[in-house]
Amino acid sequence: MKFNRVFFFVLVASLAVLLTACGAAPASNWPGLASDGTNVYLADGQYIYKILVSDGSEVTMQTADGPVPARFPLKAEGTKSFYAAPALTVDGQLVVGSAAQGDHTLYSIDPATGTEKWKFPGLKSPWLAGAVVLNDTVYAPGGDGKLYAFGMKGEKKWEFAASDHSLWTSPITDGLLIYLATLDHDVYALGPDGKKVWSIKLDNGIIGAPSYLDGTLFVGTLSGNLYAINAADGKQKWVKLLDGGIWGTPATDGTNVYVGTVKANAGKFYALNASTGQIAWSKDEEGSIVAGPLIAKDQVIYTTETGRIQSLDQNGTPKWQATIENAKLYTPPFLAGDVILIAPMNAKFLLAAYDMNGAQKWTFIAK
Amino acid sequence: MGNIFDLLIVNPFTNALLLIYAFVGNFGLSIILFTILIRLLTHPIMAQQIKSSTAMQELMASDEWIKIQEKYKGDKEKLASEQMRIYSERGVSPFSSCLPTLIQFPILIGFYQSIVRAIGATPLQLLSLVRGIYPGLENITPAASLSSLIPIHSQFLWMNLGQPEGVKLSFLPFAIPILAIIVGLTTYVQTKLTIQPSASPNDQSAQMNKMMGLYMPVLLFYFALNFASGLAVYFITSNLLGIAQYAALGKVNWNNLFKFGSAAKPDPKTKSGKRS
Repeated sequence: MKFNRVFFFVLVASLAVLLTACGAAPASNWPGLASDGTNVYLADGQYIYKILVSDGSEVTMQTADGPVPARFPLKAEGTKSFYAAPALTVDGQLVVGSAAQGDHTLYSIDPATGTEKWKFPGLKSPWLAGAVVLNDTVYAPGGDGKLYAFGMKGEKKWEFAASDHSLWTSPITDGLLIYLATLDHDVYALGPDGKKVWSIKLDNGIIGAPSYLDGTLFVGTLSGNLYAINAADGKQKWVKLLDGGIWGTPATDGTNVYVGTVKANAGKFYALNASTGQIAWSKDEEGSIVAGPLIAKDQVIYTTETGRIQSLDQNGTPKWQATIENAKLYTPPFLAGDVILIAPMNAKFLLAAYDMNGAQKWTFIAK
Repeated sequence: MGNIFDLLIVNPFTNALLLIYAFVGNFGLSIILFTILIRLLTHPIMAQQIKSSTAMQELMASDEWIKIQEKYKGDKEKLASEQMRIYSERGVSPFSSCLPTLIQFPILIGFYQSIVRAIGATPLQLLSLVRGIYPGLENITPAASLSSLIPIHSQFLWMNLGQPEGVKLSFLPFAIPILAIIVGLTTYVQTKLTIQPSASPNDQSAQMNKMMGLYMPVLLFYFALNFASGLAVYFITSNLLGIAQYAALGKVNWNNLFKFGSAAKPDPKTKSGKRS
């Protein structure tokens, strides 16, 4: 009898472990980054970390119990998880949504104290994409497929039903309109009042947010089509089919538009003429390029899923490269001050900073 | 190991789910249809399990078995060898009723993983899904192409199949887990109806059955409460089909449904209740 009980509980425990450990986490995703130039805010699981850009140390603050890391939440609650890139408002709020199973709340945090300023708890689905701020309004893409607009005190201004599916891409703005892409193949342009200005249906789902330069939106789909769209009226300027699906946000320097692709477990990096869509050059990669690239000064930097960071000049000539052992790189490289930040998954550290020549300056390990 | 499990179980299950989804256009319905398919495919294994379990019950209730328990109760080695002799003579394997359960175990885990993967609740999970889709799938139907499949619409009735279910009522501070309650109830009913009766309420299998009847509904209620509601849809469908399968084989023991606190009693109408 005793043996049977032990056996039964071992069986139950094994089943529970196997179910939970093998893909049960419903909202695990890659980390998100934001910076005010002095600090970088890293949304990575249970916490939003506040890290000094200059040396990678975690910012602390004084409490009655002495200095503690300036994280949000201050203590692990197990009920919150953050992956969306936080948004910084002009009055210094940090706005980020939780993707945890039991908490689908959008929080506004005072980054100085780590305390909540306001919150919007109404959703049934996780917040997976970062918000964007235009003037005195926060535009937050919800897990329920709606784009929400909030005032600086958290008052909801309007909501726009963009999709039946969760919104996974951050909206972007040219200062006049808000542009939003969805997994339902749509790109929307909305006015600051939430009214649709135009929309266009593309050939497949969109995971990476559009990028904008000089009146043109660049957006890629899972089929591998890269589109250039007139931001004023939503008309397609050109489209180019690339080898592999596009998962990241394209980047453009005005001359070229750069984007990577996912070809099963391999990838390809492209530079296309921004005006015509003609391929200027391309480079095969052993690892998939999930994240969008970063343009920094005279170089374009992209990462591969296999942990490689590659810098090229505008002609595709390698400038430098670095590798993070065993890491998976999905978060786009991020420019903060004069360093390039990389937030890996499965690495010994949560964040690494590189200078413009590829030398690692620091790494951040959460204590 | 994980890759082999993916290759042999999770990927084929995921693709089958997606293919059904491509035809019916409803992910909840796809889970139900796929559960029926899995139940049909594993029916021979289940029938064998029921047969073996019945044979074991009959053997353990036999005079010969009871006699050797008494005779060799002080000599475990001799008792074991006598038990093996009886197993051999009657062509019964003590493990044959466990084996089908063990075979169903990876199917359950694989099925859960395939539901989570197919729903693709985050970009990271979608990446895993896209890589696992068989290239030939869209040749079967254009609706199975990547552009038609993505995004998977995970809404079914009132629930999001990728999230735990709960119905919020304005006057209550918490959500009512309707699906989890149904899972608990159907599991209880299935366990009570399908437990094979034992000659002695104190023997090991009777005690095990009693524990199963108590713990399984609680365990599956817990899973349904905390995991993706797609899994709960699977549990409910599977429980109802399990009862139907037992009924079709004439093994449902309706007398046990409202018996509490003691081991299942033999039903005189069922063969397994008889002593050999």
